[in-house]
Amino acid sequence: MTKNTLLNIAIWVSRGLKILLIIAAVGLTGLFVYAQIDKDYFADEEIVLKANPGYLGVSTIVSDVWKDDTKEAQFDSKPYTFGKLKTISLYINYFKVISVAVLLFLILRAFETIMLSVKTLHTFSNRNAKLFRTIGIYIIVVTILISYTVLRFESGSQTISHLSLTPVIYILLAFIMAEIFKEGENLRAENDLTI
Amino acid sequence: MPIIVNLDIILAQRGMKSNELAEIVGITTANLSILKTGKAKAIRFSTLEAICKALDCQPSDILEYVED
Repeated sequence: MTKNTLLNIAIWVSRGLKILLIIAAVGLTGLFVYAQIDKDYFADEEIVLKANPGYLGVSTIVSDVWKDDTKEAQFDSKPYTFGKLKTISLYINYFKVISVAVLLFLILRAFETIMLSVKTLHTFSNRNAKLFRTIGIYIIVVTILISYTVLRFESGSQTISHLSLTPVIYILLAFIMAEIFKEGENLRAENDLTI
Repeated sequence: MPIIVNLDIILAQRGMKSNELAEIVGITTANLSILKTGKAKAIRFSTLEAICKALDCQPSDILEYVED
């Protein structure tokens, strides 16, 4: 099936996205390291979380600012700047974003493996069924990771929680595809053992 | 599986080798081996017909039902 144009395009798009993900992860790590070396560079950059519920989703943002009793001014006028972000919060969120990038990369790689097996006419195999199940599990983890974000600052915090039906549909699709491929593998085995 | 394939016995009775039968019937020796060892899930009527023709026997000579 080497002349299937759509399949070839999908494989190339998947490869391109994988490269983009690597570039994004490397860029983000570079920024993260730079932010540790030159702390003043991003100090005044304001961090504002934005709700993006998409279709069939709900996003809520909770922003808190608390009083600093040690200073004269009771409330900080700019509490959500990068310089005031707590180190632990920065580290947790960095590793969260990197984990999501790694998982997306693994999802793309699994999908690419499946598409390549279709190209080589090994579509219905236990390996593909397992790959679809793995994709489903990865999407579950990504959904959990992106559903809740907390940014803790010196005198405030921002929390965003996100619930959406879209990833649930993707998860169900991945597991249904796994079952379809498992059935396909059974049919193939039966056909192969029909003399 | 309660269906036993007695192809070995009939082949011995006819003094025919597996590869000869495979060639006459038009299946691979690997597939004939699957059939002989009882690993096959199904047998096509066309294959059964060709085997019966080659060995000059009835399907009941080759296939036997034994209760588990």
